[in-house]
Amino acid sequence: MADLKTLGAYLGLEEEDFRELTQLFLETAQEDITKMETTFTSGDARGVMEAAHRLKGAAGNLGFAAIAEKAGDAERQSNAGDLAGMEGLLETLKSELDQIRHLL
Amino acid sequence: MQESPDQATAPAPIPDRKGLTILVVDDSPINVRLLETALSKEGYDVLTAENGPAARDIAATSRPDLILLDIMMPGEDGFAVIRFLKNNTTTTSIPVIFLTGVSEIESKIEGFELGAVDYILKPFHPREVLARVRLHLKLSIATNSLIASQAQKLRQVRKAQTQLLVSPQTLPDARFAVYYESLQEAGGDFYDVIPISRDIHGYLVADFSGHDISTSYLTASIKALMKQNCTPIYQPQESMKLINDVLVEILPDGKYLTACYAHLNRKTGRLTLINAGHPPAVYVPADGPAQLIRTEGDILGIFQDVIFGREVLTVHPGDRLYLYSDGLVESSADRVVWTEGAERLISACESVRNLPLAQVPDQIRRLLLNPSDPPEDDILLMGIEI
Repeated sequence: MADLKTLGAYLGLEEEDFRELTQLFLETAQEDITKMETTFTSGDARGVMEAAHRLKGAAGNLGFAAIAEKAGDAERQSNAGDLAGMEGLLETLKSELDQIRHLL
Repeated sequence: MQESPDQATAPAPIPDRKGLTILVVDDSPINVRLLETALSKEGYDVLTAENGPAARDIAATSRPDLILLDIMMPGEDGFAVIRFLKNNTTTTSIPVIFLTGVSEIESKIEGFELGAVDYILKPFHPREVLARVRLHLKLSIATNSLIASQAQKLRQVRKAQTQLLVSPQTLPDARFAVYYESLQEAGGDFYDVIPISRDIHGYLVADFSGHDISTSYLTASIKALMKQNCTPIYQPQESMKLINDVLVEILPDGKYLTACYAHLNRKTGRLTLINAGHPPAVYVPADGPAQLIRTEGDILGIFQDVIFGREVLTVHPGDRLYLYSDGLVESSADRVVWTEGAERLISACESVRNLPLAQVPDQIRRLLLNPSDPPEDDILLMGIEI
């Protein structure tokens, strides 16, 4: 994963601004992942899908491609009502988020 | 009936242009923040809303100049918001660009039918958003026949020239200093500093051909034009092109203007210099030698199709820039020709490096021109500190 300055530059933002955005993203992404977990536990595929969609959007806009892709997978699967692989995906998402946390 | 200058009645006030405002509506705080950062960096004022009801409320009370609207929001979606905006006389003419994900692409048609002017796919690149925003703001303003109405209003403006020259104290964020000495009461040189946003300023130094009574009305016109046309939606060269278009219409035959315009964004460190037939600016980097920024361009006010010289520099705090008129460097009494005058100017700018900015213009003038010689031309020098 590229560093904050590079990721920020790609969007035309100064490192300081991008850092702030990343901090905000870590908060909202954590909320989305937690939401995915609780809705998954109660078998609410639609709930998983909506949270995954939000996570995908935010990650995609900031250029965090890996986590955006995984969230997209989760969105697609839950949209089709298929929650079989969700546990694995959630673990991957959490570790991706950790990697981003280490950028700060 | 012609008014004589000392009988001028109280002038009509030039209306204050409020900053361009963009309303960003998206339920994702990341998207809101990202767009807010990118837009305010360019000089726009940004309002935000995270849902439909808040968006409608803000649009109606604050009348933004453009709205970026997310379609997929929980509760009231973007379509409901557009419907409200278009049915309301206060908000119906505000251009709306909607933001939509690929999976919602069928919504594109419905959005257009409801009155949106464009759409942007998510994930969006901030630079694309900026380009679309600029485009639609221009179109929206052009619909109001900008150039024709400006020219019409300016023909009626009368104001004493000296009242119009902005003093450095009134714009401390612009960090500039000036020396100005005019040959006659109605000088032929003119300068202005335009605060485009807190971190972005425009600096203009201009020189009218000839010095006569009509120049006082002309400088009021230039000032109004600068205020109208130096905004975040126009690139610096576009601002100058718009000003040229109006000048071609209102300047008397044979009269023209040379100008040097510096657009400085202190937040990004980007300096754009536009030259319209004017002597080259002097750039003095904090850690490098003083240099002339040589770039040539057409004069203003004569030709419809003009090409300006343009140079873009990355600058840093502590650097300085000098704009001036040729009265500062040319003198037939001393038989100083341009090349020699340029050299003397460069070394004068070098010698004042450590002098506080406020004292610099006077000092440079003292170095270059002999105080005992009678002035042959207006003398104007503006120093800008990054």
